[in-house]
Amino acid sequence: METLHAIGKDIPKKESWNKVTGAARYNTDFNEPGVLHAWLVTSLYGHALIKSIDKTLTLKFPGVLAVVTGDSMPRLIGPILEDRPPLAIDRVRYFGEPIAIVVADSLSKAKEAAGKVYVEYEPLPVVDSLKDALEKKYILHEDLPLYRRIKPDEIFPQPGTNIANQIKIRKGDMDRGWAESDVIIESTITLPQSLHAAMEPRNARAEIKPDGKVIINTSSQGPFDVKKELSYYFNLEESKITVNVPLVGGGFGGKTTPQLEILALLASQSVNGRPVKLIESREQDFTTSPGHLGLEAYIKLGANRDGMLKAIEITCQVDTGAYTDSGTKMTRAMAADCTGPYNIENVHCDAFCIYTNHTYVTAFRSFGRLSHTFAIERAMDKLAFSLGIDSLELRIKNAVNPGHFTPTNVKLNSSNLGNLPECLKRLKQMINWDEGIRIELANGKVRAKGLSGLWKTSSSPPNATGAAIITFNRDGTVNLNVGAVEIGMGIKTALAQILAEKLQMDINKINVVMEVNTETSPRHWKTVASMTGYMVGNAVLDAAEDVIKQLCKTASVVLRCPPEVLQVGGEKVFLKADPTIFVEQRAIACGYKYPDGSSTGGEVIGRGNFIMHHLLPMDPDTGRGKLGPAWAVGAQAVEVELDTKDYTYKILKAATVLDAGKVLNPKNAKGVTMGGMCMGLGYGCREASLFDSGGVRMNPQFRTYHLMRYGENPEYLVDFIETPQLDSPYGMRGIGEHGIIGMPAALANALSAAAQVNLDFTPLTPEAIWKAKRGVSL
Amino acid sequence: MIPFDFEYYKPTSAQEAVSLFHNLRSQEKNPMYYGGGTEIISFSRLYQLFPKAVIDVKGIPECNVLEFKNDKLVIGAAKTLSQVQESNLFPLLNQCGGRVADHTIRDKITLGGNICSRIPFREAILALLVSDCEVIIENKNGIRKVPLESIYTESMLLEPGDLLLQFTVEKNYTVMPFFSMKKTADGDVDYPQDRIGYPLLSGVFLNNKGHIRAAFSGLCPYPFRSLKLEAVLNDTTVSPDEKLNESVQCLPAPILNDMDSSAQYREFVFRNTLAGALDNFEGVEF
Repeated sequence: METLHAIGKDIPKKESWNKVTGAARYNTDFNEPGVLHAWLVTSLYGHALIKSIDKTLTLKFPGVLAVVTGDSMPRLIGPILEDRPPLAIDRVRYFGEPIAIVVADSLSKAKEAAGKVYVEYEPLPVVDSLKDALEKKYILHEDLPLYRRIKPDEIFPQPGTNIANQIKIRKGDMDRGWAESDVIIESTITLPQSLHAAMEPRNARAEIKPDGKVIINTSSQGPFDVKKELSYYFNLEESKITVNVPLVGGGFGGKTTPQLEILALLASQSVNGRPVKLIESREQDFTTSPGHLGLEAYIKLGANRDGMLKAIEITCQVDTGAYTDSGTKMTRAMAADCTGPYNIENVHCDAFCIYTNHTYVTAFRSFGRLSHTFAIERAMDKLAFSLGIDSLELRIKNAVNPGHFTPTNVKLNSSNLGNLPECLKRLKQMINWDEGIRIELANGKVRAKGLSGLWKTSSSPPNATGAAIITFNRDGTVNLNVGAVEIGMGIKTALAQILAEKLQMDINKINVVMEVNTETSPRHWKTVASMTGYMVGNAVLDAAEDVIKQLCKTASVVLRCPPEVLQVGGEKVFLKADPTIFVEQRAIACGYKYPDGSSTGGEVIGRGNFIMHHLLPMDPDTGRGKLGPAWAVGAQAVEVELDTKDYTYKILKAATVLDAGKVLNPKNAKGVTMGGMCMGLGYGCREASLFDSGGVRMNPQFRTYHLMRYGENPEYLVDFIETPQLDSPYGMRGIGEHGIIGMPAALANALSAAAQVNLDFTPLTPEAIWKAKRGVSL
Repeated sequence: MIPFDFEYYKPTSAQEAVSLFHNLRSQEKNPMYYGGGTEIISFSRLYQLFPKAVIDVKGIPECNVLEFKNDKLVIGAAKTLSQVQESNLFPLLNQCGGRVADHTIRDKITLGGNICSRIPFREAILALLVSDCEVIIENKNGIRKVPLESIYTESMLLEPGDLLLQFTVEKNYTVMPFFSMKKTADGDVDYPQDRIGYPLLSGVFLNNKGHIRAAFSGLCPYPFRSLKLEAVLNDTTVSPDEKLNESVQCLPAPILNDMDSSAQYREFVFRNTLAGALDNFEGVEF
């Protein structure tokens, strides 16, 4: 038999034709008669007491059925620490915080009537910065010690402060590290909060059937998490809840923790279970739903004269906004990978998760590493400058390698790490590093390069699972049903490729169920953390083994031989020793019919699962523990052309080399990586959530919050090296997030070199560079 | 989505539009002339505008002219910025109008709408301010033709019901050498490539037989042409450095300071731009 290869091929995404023709349906595209509409009334203040809420006019408004307020669910919620009311009660802590839900028989009536809810506020002092928060300008959560800790092994609030969590890493001997350091640099960086800005705004629809069954249709990365949390918050049996998720129009982490699902269900409860749709406007998606964290970080980094890193001290202050959501977990994730992809034996890291009156934050592509990498990589460039060593060589010299230990004391090997030096060497050629990092051109222009290393592991619960179900059609074609959500990264196609390779069949004959329905799809933790290919992919392999076993068993009866001598491939089951003796897959997948008409076998149904293993929580005092099964490493660079007269610049090139383990689908891997790079450059050069001193968001629209536009993109160079992760399907590593991680850092390093001034912040606007330049020069 | 109902009218003559306006106004319907609709839609959906009636002017023949008539360029107020751009009849107007918003939105925004915008930048007006533009307006007393500068100071000085029909510019202004530029907080806008954003500075310089005319948006709270500033720029007795210092002194209002940029940086960009433009003049190849 000829070997069929689905792995390593440029296979178009299965949903692409429907997407590019506009036929693909997203959650709010399903319209039905009788559905009610909800609109949120949200806070106009960054911090205020709610003195009263007057619903009189709204309730009189024609078409309005209900106005839901915080008293309908007087409890706090949160995935790690329960600190957030689903609807504000007595007090608002951020601009845009939901206060009431207006339910009406049309969207326009709900929206118009929402404008008639009169909320009386009494403004409170606004904690507008991390500095305000640490100086206790106002304690935002007086009841912090009373809040229920859902994950007690990872959340350590400090009562009487605005500190929701502190994570410590203590490794090695700091005194020795500093004593061995000939050069010590200090570096402080500041990064603002920003937005996910997925193309599809967040939305949810809820309905309670007369038999008590709750139906949720949502745009979510975690349908099973929605089910779990609704069951817990509303005291419902999980069997009474079904969550449907069709294609999702981008998530980037922002559609992970349930938020609108809870509000939609409250709205449906208020109208006797009738179906209610809640769709955020772009402004609400930008201000009411959670965003991306801000960070201030201080680093002290020491090395000997040869450039070997000896000690690092890190303080991270995460701006989690008004509530913690995933902010505490991202703080922990940053701490766990706190050295960046460099081997440092003496590490002291304190990472704080801090409340402010900014928008609360949730998971964002890279789960904090984007921000933390900026801190590390700026420090590495400063160290290289102080040592007089080439910054790329400094990174190669100190790159983590097999045999090293991570900050949390996980021993690294080639499988769980990959090969960073090789990534750096490939990158060096790709961007012609040797021509020099700063080249003066005519007209006062300067061309300069900057780079960044990166690494990331996942932060799943130690018992996170993935699963797969395979069924057959009568013609021998296959159906694959998994709980992974298609958020645009091509996961369904990747899983079909894994199955096609294993069953040695044409990928076009594998139908992947595109939607997720928690009633019929097997559970998957969440589609996050670049972990879906690893977790669900392993489950698909397990299910495929199960299928092969069943096919061979039936075929062994038909072909009159032991199952062990048989092999599956090309939609046949054949003798390994003589492929001309075979039975067609379609003849046995749904039961085999003997020539005399009698039957045997029955339906082949493959089931496979995967559960994380050997993960351990971090020790509260030292940080020892293991959060994820493996890392993916990489190196990135940016080349800019800066006009030194006015500090405008062009991004000429952006380059990435990732150790992908095994590239399943080269074009898709490049596409996903470039998408991440573009997002990282956008954050680096212009994106920031801007608040005035009252905590009011000043740029809550695309008109004022600018993303990179299509025509502004640089030339992208993307390449992969392949050091297999041995316990992952075909050796692949999760790289969905990684394109974003080092981009802001590489941009800042390039612009710092070009402008010859330390640029330790984003967004790197021409004005910001001009201001830095007017300060102290390098 | 606009959360409230409103009446929509599409008259076919200017007189009909004006009388509709007064009629609706007497019924307290807060009528508005509707061109591309981008602002009416954006502000209404945010509860910042509440017209109970809109009068679409795109059906009025005079508002849809775009051609040279007897050595005069006539542009109907309902012509979109894209149509003006594609016609290429007035390259300076193409450039400053062609940098507003993005292509999709310029397919909607009309020239009249941009010039009467509530968002203060109104970049298309810059080309008209330096080219002795005349404006044709219909109101209940009939039609009138006035110089643009007579009805524009910080914004268009129109009476309720005044309907902008057309802008006219002498042909010789459309062929004069010029220089134009726009910078946003994110950087340069390289016409015709889009870069979304309000201007830190959008500037036009027209070389009228050796005499510079200039107009700016984004620098002060409204677009302006300053004769005083032009006098400085054209003064051959002053050194380039002095020209920059004096220019900053004759701005009509304090420099804008907002979330896009500080006033100090705007001043820096303004000085750089003037220096660049003056350099351009030196070389004549403007």
